[in-house]
Amino acid sequence: MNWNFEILPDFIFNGLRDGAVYAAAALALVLIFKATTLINFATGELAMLGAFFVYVLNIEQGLWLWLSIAIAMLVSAGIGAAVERALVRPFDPADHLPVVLITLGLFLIINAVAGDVWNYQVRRVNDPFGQFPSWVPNGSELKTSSEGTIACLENADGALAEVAPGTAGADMCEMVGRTFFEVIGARLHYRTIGTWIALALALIALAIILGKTKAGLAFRAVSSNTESARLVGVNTGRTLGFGWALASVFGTLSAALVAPALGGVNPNMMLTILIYALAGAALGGLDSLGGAVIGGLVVGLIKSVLVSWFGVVVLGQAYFSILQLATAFLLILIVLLFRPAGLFGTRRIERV
Amino acid sequence: MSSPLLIVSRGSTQHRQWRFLSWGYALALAILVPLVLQPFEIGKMNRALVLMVAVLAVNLVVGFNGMLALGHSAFMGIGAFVAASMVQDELWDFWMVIPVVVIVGFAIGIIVGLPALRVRGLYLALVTIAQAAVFPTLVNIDELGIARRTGGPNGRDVIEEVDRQESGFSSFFEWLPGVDGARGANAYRYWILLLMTVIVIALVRNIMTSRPGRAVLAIRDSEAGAAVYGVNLPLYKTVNFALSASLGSLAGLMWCLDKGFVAGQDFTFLLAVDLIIGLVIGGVGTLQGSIFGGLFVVWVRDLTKRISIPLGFYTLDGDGPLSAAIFGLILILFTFFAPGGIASMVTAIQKRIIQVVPLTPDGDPITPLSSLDPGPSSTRATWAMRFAIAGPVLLVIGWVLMNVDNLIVGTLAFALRFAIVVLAPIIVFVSMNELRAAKAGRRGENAAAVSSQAKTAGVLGVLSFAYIQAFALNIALRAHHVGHLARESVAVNPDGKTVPAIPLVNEAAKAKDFVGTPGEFCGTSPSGEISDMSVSELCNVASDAIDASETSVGFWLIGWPTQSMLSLVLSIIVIVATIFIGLRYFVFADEKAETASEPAPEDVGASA
Repeated sequence: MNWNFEILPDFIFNGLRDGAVYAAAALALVLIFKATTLINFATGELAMLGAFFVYVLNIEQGLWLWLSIAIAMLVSAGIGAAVERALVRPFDPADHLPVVLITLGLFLIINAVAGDVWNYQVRRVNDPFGQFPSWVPNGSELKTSSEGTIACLENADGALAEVAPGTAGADMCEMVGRTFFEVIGARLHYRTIGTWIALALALIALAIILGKTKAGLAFRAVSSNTESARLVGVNTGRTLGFGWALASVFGTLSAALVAPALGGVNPNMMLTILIYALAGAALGGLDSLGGAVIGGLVVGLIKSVLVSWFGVVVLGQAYFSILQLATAFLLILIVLLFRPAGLFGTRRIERV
Repeated sequence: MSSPLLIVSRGSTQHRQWRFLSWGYALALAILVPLVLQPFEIGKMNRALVLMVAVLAVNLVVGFNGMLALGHSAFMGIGAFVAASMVQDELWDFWMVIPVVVIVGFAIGIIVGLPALRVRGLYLALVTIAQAAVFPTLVNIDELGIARRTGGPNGRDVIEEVDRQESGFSSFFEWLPGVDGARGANAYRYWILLLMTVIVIALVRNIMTSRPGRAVLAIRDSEAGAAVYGVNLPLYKTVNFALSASLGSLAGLMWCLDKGFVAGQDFTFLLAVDLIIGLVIGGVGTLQGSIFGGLFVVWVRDLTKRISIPLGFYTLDGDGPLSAAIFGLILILFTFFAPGGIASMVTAIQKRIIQVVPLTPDGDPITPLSSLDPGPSSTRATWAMRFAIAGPVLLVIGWVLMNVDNLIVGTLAFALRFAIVVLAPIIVFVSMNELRAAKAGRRGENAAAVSSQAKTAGVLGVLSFAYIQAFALNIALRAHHVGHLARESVAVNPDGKTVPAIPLVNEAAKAKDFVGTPGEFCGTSPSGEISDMSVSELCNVASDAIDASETSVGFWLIGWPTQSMLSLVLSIIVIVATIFIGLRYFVFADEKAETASEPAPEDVGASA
């Protein structure tokens, strides 16, 4: 047992960064679940498509990154609404099988078409939160040792390599150093903070859309009771399409945020993230938006702290890193055993 | 064809004849597979058999219980790895592992299913999709000897011998059709896998008609309703799921047996999606659906792999990722336009042809057959005539299409040429029925026209059937000749032993992942060695047999390439028995039953 608490904050930060991505993906799942009471298994692939749009606009067309992300979000919103209109609305929402089959078919088609167009290699993308601006302290400068060598982050598990100043290695360190600064002895990456801020902004926007706009009101009405909403004149079909569009926006956001951390975009990038997002959504409650955010963050924390820190560092068992995905599976089982509706979901009572 | 061509009461002579014929055709197909197909095609049929059991396992949950299970790839993986480990590490035989695999699958099914099935809704889908995603990662864990037993990322080979202790099983299988020839190992596996599949299907059929099965179906139709009638929902759902998991594991064992190799990356979420696709396209909630589904997944994937359409700037290539996209598209199209799958299409066609009237407890048809008869305006004889003409026409079209060098067109052409085989018995049935009706005066003033039409159609049908049989016999004889050539084309290996050349060529083709006939393989002038012998030399030795087999890749209906005295005797016995039983059913029994079970004459007269 090696209780290495010094590096724990690192794991917490990483966990919360991954968690923010899972939260965005879980929101995409929950938005669709609230609208149509089904789990969209193509969520991950729609999000992956959004990330590829960002790649095409930003890398291939040379557009400004944030503009590319915004356009990609809009395009995916359109695709989401179109999918709902063309493929989901014709079916009776009470019968789950056909719609789940449709989403599985979409999963296959999107994945395969993306694989055919962009093949399965990882394509590097620009990091929206690559480096700190020059006015913030350089993380690696803090590590300058008495001998004048600079230590910088060399690899993922935090091993430090020391280099002499003035060499190419030092320049590298300088660049790497500009991606983080130190808080309570841990590296807080710009990427991490950026992911949190992006998620927070998106949540505020979602809260405003759902709370203050007419379309948001309609969405809440439809998700609480479709029949009554239709009776008071809400166009339920269009509202459900709106829900799918919102969900696609969140999916694209999650994929765009996670792509740099994965080294780039590739057609299979969202497969595992979908599982974590499902675990997050199940933990928070499948019909609770706030629950999805908290669930996603908790899944990220569990994955990072419980598995990577406790399992690999404290227990010293390297194979724990393989168990990350299994943890999500176990979490779903545990949630279903002890609190099937999730932490914040509503218990559903059936009347006959 | 508004009313069916044939209306029979359940259990009547004609109904029994019809069922005898259907089973006979099914049996003939099963026997022809190892005889007619190329070894690699038999291998594909073996895979289809494995997938049939797997699709049936999914069907048990999705089709019969209305729950969504998307993770059966994991159960298959567990079954395959348990089997591989027991066979390789503990030196068990495959058949000894079966109970172990089934029990392990059942236990894991309970562990996974219980939490999800206590509550309503999509939770099972949630759990199982996670399970499918997680399983391939778990295979690589180094602890507890898991990676050693599973082979980790490299997978592991499993011994080819099904029964290594020579307990007599293998010799029992040796005189089954196809096993003793060049198709050897694949045909041998085919019979074992077919036996397992048939047993599993019969088992599931019996479960579904028993009390627990009816409870499971009731849960699908209405959970609340089933609960009101005293069905313990979580118990039945979980046990049903666990049963499905154990069948999935059994499919995994069959996979292991068929492929001789297991690896974690074979059992990903994509396999689970394949099973769902097979289920939906075959037909959700039907036993036949699983059979069609297994065949569909294997053969249509094989077909899509050969698609290559150049569009100028871009080649539409089915052998890349797009084969999955085609499957996804087919899934969506079926969900939209044919939610019942192939099974419901087949049922719809069958309903057009034959209607079986159920019996009352007294043994009489629920509605008198005479009231279902179309009377003097019957067009049945005309339809029989149309079928009788359609058969030869399709035969000719098929012959013409046979010259198009395209696999899909070729398959279609093959089907067209042999449409007669299916049409002929229908024609004969309908004609005989109409003749009888005309004699009994049920066709009124049209009796003469109807009977002459029926007679012509019947004769035409019988003639074209006989022609096809003769044609098939011709091919069979040629195939027999090929069998001779194949046995004579033995090469001498470095140890001085004679070894059969064609199986070695096939093995070499398989080792290079070549898809095609041995002739095509030799046409690529392959290099390299197999079993210390040069492949090109083997090709030379086997060339005559290969050439002959290319031209006579047999599509025949009776007789098989008799490669040993025993199978010759066996085939004669089977043919004689078939003819005898057929005569008994069709000619003699008919007359006897006619007097016993037909309604009284005045009943017939009333309708006329």
